Amino acid sequence: MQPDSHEAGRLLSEYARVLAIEEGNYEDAQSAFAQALVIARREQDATLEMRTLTHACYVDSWYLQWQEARSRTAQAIELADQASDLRAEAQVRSYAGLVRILSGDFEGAHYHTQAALSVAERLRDRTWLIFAL
Amino acid sequence: MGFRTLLEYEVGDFAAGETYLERLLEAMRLSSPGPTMEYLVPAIAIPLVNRNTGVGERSEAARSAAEDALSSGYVLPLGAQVARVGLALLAVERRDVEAATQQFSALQSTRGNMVMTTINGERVLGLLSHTMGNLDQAVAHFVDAQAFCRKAGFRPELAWTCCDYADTLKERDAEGDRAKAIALLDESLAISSELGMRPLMERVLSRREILKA
Repeated sequence: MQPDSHEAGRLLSEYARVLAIEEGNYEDAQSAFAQALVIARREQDATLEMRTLTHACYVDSWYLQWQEARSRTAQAIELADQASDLRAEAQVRSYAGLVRILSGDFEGAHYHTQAALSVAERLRDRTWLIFAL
Repeated sequence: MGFRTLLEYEVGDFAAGETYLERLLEAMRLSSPGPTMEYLVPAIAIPLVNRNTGVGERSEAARSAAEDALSSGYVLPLGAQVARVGLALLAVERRDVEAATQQFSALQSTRGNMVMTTINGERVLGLLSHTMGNLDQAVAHFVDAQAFCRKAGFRPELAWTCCDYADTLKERDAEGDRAKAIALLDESLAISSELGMRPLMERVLSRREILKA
């Protein structure tokens, strides 16, 4: 596989999440996320870009990087219409709500959590329904 | 399950709370020790439950869950923060100055945030400062916690903050502290009555009687 191929981008996005969460390697994970994002943007693959940003904000939350998580959830949500990936959308909107509630932004949290709930209902996904509720 | 447990205890339905808490503990017992939600949730939920009941029940299970998570060697910063808040609340419960001092340094990352949506970081630091005997520092943290909760509209957490802040003022007993403490208890009582937080109402009423005596 070519290291900067479209397929490599998909693998890097998943690998970065595993690297950070399972291996505790935040720095190398960030570099893998960055590579995945470059590939996603070059390939104009909004789904890969959104999934990568969603994984990245999940990692940011575990590493207490709240500002970064906030910024990445906003970027990912902007891609939701183009990406048409309801699972990633439910996930990132749930994270967006959580990140905002932790920082005391009640209105923002309410807005994103309502949106997450609506997506999870369309998806009929119990995991994200519970998370949003 | 953790949130449901806390909700039942907050409104004073201890029997329902106990049912959910037992399910949490069962999930923990069925899991391998480590920094997973099965361990982290009881580590923080049990000390919060104890603040509602006023009884240090299951504190050993909470301490063990937090220490198992922290000693695993692969705990991530959020997991460590949650486990440490659990240990911090246990230090407050036991009035353990050494343990409180240790957690105070480790928990500076909680400033300006909620921890797991369950407790405000500044309130944790205020409680630890009080336990350490640094009452002026405790007041500063409670002021920040109060401002955070007021701005965000987190009323249950504001009610608890007012009550804990009043405890610190009562102990400091500087000029104006007694009147301020009574005003804080009044605010805590107004919120807890409106929201049906019976254990907190009882806690506030007993403190108010002492202050007004």
